[in-house]
Amino acid sequence: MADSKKTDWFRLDNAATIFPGQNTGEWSNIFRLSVELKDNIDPELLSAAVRNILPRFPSFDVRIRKGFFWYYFEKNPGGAPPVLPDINNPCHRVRFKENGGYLFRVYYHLNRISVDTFHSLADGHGAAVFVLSLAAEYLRLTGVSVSYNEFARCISDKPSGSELEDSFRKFADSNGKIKLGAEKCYHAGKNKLPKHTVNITSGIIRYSEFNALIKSLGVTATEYLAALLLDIHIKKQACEVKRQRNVCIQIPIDLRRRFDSDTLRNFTVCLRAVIDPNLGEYTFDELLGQVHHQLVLASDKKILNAMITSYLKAEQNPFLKVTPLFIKDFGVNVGFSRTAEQSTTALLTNLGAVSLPEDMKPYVEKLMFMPSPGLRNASRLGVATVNDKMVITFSDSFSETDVEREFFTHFIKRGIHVKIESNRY
Amino acid sequence: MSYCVKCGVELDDTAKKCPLCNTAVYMPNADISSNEDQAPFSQVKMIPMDAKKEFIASVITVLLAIPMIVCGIVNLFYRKDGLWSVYVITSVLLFWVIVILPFYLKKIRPYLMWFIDTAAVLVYVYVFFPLRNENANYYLTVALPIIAAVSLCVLIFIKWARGKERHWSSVIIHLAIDIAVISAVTGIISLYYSVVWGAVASIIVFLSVLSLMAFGIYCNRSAKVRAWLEKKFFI
Repeated sequence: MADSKKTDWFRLDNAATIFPGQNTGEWSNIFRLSVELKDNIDPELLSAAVRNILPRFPSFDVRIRKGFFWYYFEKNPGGAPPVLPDINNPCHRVRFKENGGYLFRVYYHLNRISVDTFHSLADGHGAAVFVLSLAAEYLRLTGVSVSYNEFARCISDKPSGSELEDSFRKFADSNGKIKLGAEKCYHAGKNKLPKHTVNITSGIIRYSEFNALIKSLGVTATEYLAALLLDIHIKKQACEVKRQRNVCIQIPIDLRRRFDSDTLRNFTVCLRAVIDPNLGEYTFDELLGQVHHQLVLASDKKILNAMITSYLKAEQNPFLKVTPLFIKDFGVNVGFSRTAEQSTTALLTNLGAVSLPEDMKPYVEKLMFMPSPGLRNASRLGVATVNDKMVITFSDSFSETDVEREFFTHFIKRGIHVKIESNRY
Repeated sequence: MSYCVKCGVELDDTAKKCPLCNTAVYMPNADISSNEDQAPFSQVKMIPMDAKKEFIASVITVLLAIPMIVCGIVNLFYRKDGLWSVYVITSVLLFWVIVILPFYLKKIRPYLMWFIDTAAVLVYVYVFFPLRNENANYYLTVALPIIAAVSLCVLIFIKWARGKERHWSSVIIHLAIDIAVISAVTGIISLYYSVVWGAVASIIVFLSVLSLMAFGIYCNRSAKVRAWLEKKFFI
C-alpha cells in the first residue's frame, strides 16, 4: 500500500496476487455477504448508499489493471457500480471490464442486500465491514438513526492508513520456515451440476442454543463445526471406497486480532484440520479433541508469522518478480487447474459473531456469508452470526445433498432448531 | 410454517420440497404458488458471457489480418500486376464482418447484424466485380436484385423466428420458402439475360426446395410422423 497517499494506484496484497490468475468460470474466488433487513429494499436508496460509502472505502473503489510484472489497483473513475436484482447463481466469475470495472457486485432481493466480492479486494472481515457499513448507510437514507462501530463505520471519517495497509508485508518478519503444500485428500462430490448452477443451502440456528452446546463441550464454534464436517466425511468415505484418504477441513482464520491489524484488505491464512481414517475409528468427541488441539497448535502467533513470511517470500522471489505477468498468470492457471483443492475435503469459514450498533440491531434480521462453490469441494461453508442468529451456508456445484442433510439433522438430533432456506426449490 | 417430516428441519414457507432430502411439502391449506415471488432466493439465473469467445475471436482476427497485410505489401511493392490483393482483402473483411464480428457483441442483435451484413455484401460485390472488368451495369441489374431478395428473405425469417418458439418442421418450411423465392428471383434474372446455366440451376434448386417444403408441411401436419422422427433423430 506504499505510495497510496501520493498516487491513485496500489499493489495487490500478498494473498490477493494469486486470485486474478485463478479467475475462471469454475473457480471464481468470489464470496457473498448478505445482510437481511426487516423491510424490502428500495433499489434507488441502495444505489445512493453505495455512492455515499464508496469514498470511505478506497480499497473497494478500484479497478484492477495489468502492469508488465504484476496486477495493480487504481482508483475507479466510474462513480459506483450498478445495483442489480438478485440472481439464483451468485458468485460467478468476475470480468475485469464489466460492472464498471468494479470488483464487487451489489444485489437486492426482497429485504436482502447482497454483495459479491472478488477475493483480491478483501477477505471476509473486510467485506463484512463494507457490507454492514452499506446497510447502515441504507438505513440512514430510509430515515433511521444508526450509530457507528467497528463493523458499521462512520462514512464521514477519512479512511485511515491502517485500513488500507498490506498487513502481510507489515507483520511478516519470521526466520522460521513452513513447508507449503500438502497431500491429496478425500473428495465427496460426484455428480457435477450443469455449468452456472450453484446450490445454496442455508441453515439458521439460534446462536444461544448452539453456544450453550459448545460451552458445555469446551470448544469454539469453528472447532465444533469442523469436527462435525470431519465426522460426516469420514463416515461417507468409509461407505464409498476401500482406500481411505485423509479427510481435511480447510479453515481460514482472521489474523487481525493476533497481529493487531485493522486492515480492510486480505489478512487471513488457511489452517487445516486433518484426520487420517486409517488410524482407526474416531468418535465425535475424539474428533472434537483432535480439531481443538490441531487448531490451537497451528494458531500460535509465531507459526502464523512463519506462514505469512513463507507466502511473502514466495512472492518476493527475484526470479518470480521479473517474470512477465502473462507467464505468471499462465503458470498459476495451469498449476491451479492441476492441483486445485486436492489437499482439502471441505472449506469452513467462520466470520464469527458480528457486533452491530445497538440502534441498528432491531433493523437487521440476519447476516449470510457464502463462499464461492469449489471445483472439487462438495462442501464449502460460510458461517456468520448476528443478533443471536447463526447462519450456516453451504455452497457447492454438486447434485448430492447428503452432507448438508447429515450436517443439519445433527443439530435436530441434539435438540437445536434449524430453519432451512435454499435456492433449489 | 412447515417442517420436513424426514429431516425435522423447518422449511421456508415457499418451499415445495425439502432441499435436504427432496421430500415433498404437504400443506393442505397453503397456496404455495401464490407466494413464489417471496422465495428467499431469486429464481433468475444469470448466464455469464463466455470470456473465451472474445479471446478466440481476437486470435482469429489477428490470424486473418496476417494474409491481408502480406498480400497488400507484396501487391504494392513486388508484384504490381494489378490490384489482385483487393480480392483477398475484401473477401477476408467480408468473412470477418459476417462470422467474427458477432462474437464481439455483448448481446445478440439480429436486426443490427442483418443490416451490417447486407451493407457489407453490397460493398463487397460493388468493389469486387468492377475489378474483374465485369459489365458495370451488372451490379445494378443482377447483383443488387439478388442481394435485395436474399436480404429481404433473411429479414422476414428473423422477424418470424423471433416472434415465438417455432417447431423445427415450421422452420424447414420457412427456410424452404425463402430459398425458393431467392432461386425464383435468380432464375427470372437469368432468363431475362439468357443465361441458360443460371436458369437451369435455379430451377433445380427451386424444385428441390419444393420437395423439402412438402416434407416440412407433411411433418407439420402429422403428429405421428413428428413424434417418430423426434424419437429416431434426437440430438
